[in-house]
Amino acid sequence: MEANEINTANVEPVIEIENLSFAYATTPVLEDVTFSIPRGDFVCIVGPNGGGKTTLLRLILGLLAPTRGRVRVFGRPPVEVRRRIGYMPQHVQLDPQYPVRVCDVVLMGRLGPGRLGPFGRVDKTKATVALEEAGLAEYAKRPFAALSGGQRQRVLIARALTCEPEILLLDEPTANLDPFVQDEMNELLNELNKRLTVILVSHDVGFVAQYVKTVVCVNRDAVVHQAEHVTGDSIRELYGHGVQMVHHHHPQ
Amino acid sequence: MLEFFEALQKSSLLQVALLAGLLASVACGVIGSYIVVRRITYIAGGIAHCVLGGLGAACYFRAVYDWEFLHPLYGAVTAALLAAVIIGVVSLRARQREDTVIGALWAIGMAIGVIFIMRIPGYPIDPMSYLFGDILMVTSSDLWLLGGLDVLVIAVGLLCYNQLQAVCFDEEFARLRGINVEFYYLLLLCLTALTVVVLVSVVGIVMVIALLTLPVAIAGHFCKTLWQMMLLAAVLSMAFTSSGLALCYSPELPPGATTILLAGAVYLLVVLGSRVPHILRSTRYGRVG
Repeated sequence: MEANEINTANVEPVIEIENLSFAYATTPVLEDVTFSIPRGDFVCIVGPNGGGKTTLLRLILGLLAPTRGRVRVFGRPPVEVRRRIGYMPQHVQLDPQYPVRVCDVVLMGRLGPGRLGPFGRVDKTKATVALEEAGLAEYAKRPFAALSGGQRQRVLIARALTCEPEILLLDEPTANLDPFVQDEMNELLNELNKRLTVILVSHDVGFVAQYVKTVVCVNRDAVVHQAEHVTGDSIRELYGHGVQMVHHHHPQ
Repeated sequence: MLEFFEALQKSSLLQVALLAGLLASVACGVIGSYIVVRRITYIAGGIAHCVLGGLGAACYFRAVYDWEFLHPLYGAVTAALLAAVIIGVVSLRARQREDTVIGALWAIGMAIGVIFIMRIPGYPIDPMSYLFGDILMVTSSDLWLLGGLDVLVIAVGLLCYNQLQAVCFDEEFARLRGINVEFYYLLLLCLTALTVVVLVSVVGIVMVIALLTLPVAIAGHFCKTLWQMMLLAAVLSMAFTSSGLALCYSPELPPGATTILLAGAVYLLVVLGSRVPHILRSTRYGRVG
């Protein structure tokens, strides 16, 4: 906690969350959450299913409005500035039969309000660059539906990059991927973190250790840890013994 | 068949019918593709059935109050757009009750239509031609109206291709990019409404959904992208409406039903054809195992 405060004092925060509470109807999901994320950070939001990870993500994106408290992105309400966030959903949320090529999916990142008609040359160049960065250049003309889960996930990262974001926000980037593909994903995100703030949601503890700088544990409330303090014993303490079952015992 | 081509050269009635079918096919391919990939066929069905209410009301007021200007197509357009907006707003606001509302509107639209049509004084209009379509009843003045709607639907549908595609593929991402998702969803439903009106004159209210979806479903087996799907679906739809008209000419079959049966048969063949390699593989595997 202390280390994080020092961190934020030096670097301008990109996301500030103050006394945030959120409830679906009468079911409280998040209660009095306060933390901030400095520019350039690599944050992993972890926690049990139903603990409020996804809700927190949607609040940061401005897809949900807080019940109490506030969320600021670049010092502004999320809805005003969310075009500067590159968002990667889980590919399983998309229709697997949708007839669309990889390059067309990536080009969707170039869309914005008040522009009609076909994409221009600049858009296409930027999409190609993003695809190359995600290591999928040769798949550009393939149907999105024909790719593997890991490839689809990387296409969605390329789409997020095409938005030319300052923050990359990823929902479970390694869910349902085999370990080798997970490593590839880790490398890619580490590479992107050199120029972007990376925030990802994961229920997978194993993911935390490698490159992540900050861990935010979410289970109704949120506790921020510096990643170097979250190795070995503290992971076991937080999550139980080396299993993916997550028990959160946050200090009040 | 030969008689049809001979008749086609002489009869302006047939020429108008053929042209109406071709015109409708383009809108059908473009909008049908959006409807299928967005999975809102049921909504299109609801809108189609509401058209009867508009048609019935227009015919009634025209007969009772001598409102000559009130072409039945105006009633159809009004009812279809109204249904599209109501269904759209309901499905955006209260998702969990969407199907109930569509189902109710579906039947209410028809009920209004039936009452108006039955109350028309003098000799009653046969609702059969609206329900099951009669492309041969399309007049050359209708053709201008249908053509105008067609051009409007295709122009908007293609101009907003990227936006509509994004909303259909990943609504949430589109919203995050600053696209007015609600606007484009309602726009898509309104375009659907206009397409439905054009198609009602070709195959009738009851069979509109089939013509909207079958060519697209067939095209889906061969296409990698949405625009290829639109193109192929439009071509298929042209083939179905034209050959439906040609096939029904001598044996005096109803053209709408013939068109739909033709499309259905081709769809079935394509589905079976695409399953054959799969079935062969699994039976061979079964024998070995």
